[in-house]
Amino acid sequence: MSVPENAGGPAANGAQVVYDGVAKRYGAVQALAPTSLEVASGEFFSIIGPSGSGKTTLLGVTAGFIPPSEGRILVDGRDLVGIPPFQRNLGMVFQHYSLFPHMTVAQNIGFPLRMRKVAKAEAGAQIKRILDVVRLSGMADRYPAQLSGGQQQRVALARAAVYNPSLLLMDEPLSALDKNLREEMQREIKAFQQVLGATVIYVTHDQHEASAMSHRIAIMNGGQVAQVGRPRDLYDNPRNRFVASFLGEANLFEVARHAPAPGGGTVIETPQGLTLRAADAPPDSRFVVCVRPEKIALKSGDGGGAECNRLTGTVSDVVHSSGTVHHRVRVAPEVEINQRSTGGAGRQFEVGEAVSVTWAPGDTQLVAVD
Amino acid sequence: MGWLAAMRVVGVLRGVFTGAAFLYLILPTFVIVPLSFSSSLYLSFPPPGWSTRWYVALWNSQLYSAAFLHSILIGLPVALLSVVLGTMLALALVRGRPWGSRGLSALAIAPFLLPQIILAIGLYSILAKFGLTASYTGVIVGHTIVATPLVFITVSASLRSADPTFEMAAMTLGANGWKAFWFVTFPTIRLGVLTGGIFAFSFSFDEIILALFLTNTRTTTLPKQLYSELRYNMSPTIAAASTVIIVLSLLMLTAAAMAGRRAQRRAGAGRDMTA
Repeated sequence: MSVPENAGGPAANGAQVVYDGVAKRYGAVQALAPTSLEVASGEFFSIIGPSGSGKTTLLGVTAGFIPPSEGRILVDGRDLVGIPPFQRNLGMVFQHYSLFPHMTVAQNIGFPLRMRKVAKAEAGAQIKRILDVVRLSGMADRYPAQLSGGQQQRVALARAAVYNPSLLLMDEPLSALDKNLREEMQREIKAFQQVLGATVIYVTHDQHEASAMSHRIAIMNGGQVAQVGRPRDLYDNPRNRFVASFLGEANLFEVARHAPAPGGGTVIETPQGLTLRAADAPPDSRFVVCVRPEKIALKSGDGGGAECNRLTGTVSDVVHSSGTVHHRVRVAPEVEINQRSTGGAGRQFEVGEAVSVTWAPGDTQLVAVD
Repeated sequence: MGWLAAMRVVGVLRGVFTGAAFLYLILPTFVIVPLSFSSSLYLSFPPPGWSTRWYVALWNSQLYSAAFLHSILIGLPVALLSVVLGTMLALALVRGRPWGSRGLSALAIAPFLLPQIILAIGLYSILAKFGLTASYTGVIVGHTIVATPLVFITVSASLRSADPTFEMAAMTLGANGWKAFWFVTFPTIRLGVLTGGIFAFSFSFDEIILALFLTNTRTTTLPKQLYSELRYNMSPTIAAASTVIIVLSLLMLTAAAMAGRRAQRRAGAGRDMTA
């Protein structure tokens, strides 16, 4: 996105948002367990999780559409609970943009200014400025139905940001776009946020999107926050099985028995009789073993050193997609392992070929069940 | 017989059937039109000759002009009240989605489906208590009860086709409930409101059962006037008045259809450009 330095007016300081024990119950159903989170000023914070995980409830509570059953939501120290949505002064981008079909692009963007009784000339200047930022200067007089999906998305962004809110909420804003456009819009939204300086709380069910865009991610499941952290940390150190399986691909193994290894670390036996080695000591609670597909190397026949994890099996499936090769290897009657190599690393195997599946003990993650 | 020949026969049959269905639906209404140009003193078919004298008679008849005026004076408030009530009802049930909104929706259209004679009898006994049986108020109340479901149906349809997040978006942008309705909801359902209002007026304009019970000589509506004329004399004035009613009704329906087409064209134009 080509952005002039001072476009969009003076960049607002992003709001600091503190969720303090926010919960929502519908009768006996707990849609959101008491949740406490802190979002830093100017942060791009994503909330991901499957449907019904409570992420939409959390967003609805923040926007003011859903009154929380308990807790406080402090935005720069001001508690939002009890304040109606139209007085919260935050911006929100909806899944299907929610552009008003009877208004032109300029009228849509001007709507929040009109509600704020901004003088006509001043409003006109602000609309023009934000249209430049989202590269829609020639489209001011079009109706939303005359725009492409990506253009509608940019109008929705402009409309939610033209009054410089310090907090922008986004509810799966890219889910209606096709894949290529989605990746382009991810970059645009990030650039847009940097221009505005606003804090962004971004809800999505797409973990790739969240990882690509966010400073930090909260993963939700069953109305609770399962883990909060930077994308890399969540991937490398998942707190529980749900986080490990939700974020990225994971080969998960149940544990039948485990014992300290002679040279440090842990030796694990799975119910299928596979023996795995980890560099870490086991956690205190019940745990599973997680190995990421890209940590695994395939070797023909019986290759691989003794210090490694080494399982033997036959290739059951090979998929090649844009520079990445995915192998699926059957290592036991009920166990298949996913392996992935990118950029020509490692050779491609054929279905039915006998291979060794190897990885370093340091890449064996021991993950608590809950 | 070849495939193409068979297809051609099917095409012709389909045309014939469609035409027959249309004739069946429309023709009986239009039988009255040639009768109105009859030179005969009585309603009889076929007319022995042609004249426009019955339109002149209609124009000069004080009874008919009065009845026409009454119908308008009743129809306009009925349309207005039904629009307000029906729109509020649709907003509450479609957007508010209260518990049991399905059942309530069925209830909301019930007055239109239930026999109007029963409503007329019940309403008559209540309104009689308040001395309203022979006033505009009585018949306006009665017609509004039946016409409100018509508006409810058209506005509900408009609301269902509009994105339910419009109001939420308007609110996050700083509009309170009333402003969100006025600037965002209403413009998106305007067509449904207009169509519903036209339907409500048309209904009131040719309704007879409630009118028989709830109007007197000072508030007689056009259909009731036609009905009583039929009982006393079978003059072709009746046909002339009927023709005027048909033309007016058609004009209103055309207006509703044109409004719908205009709205569709705007949405359609957009769809082409995004393709």
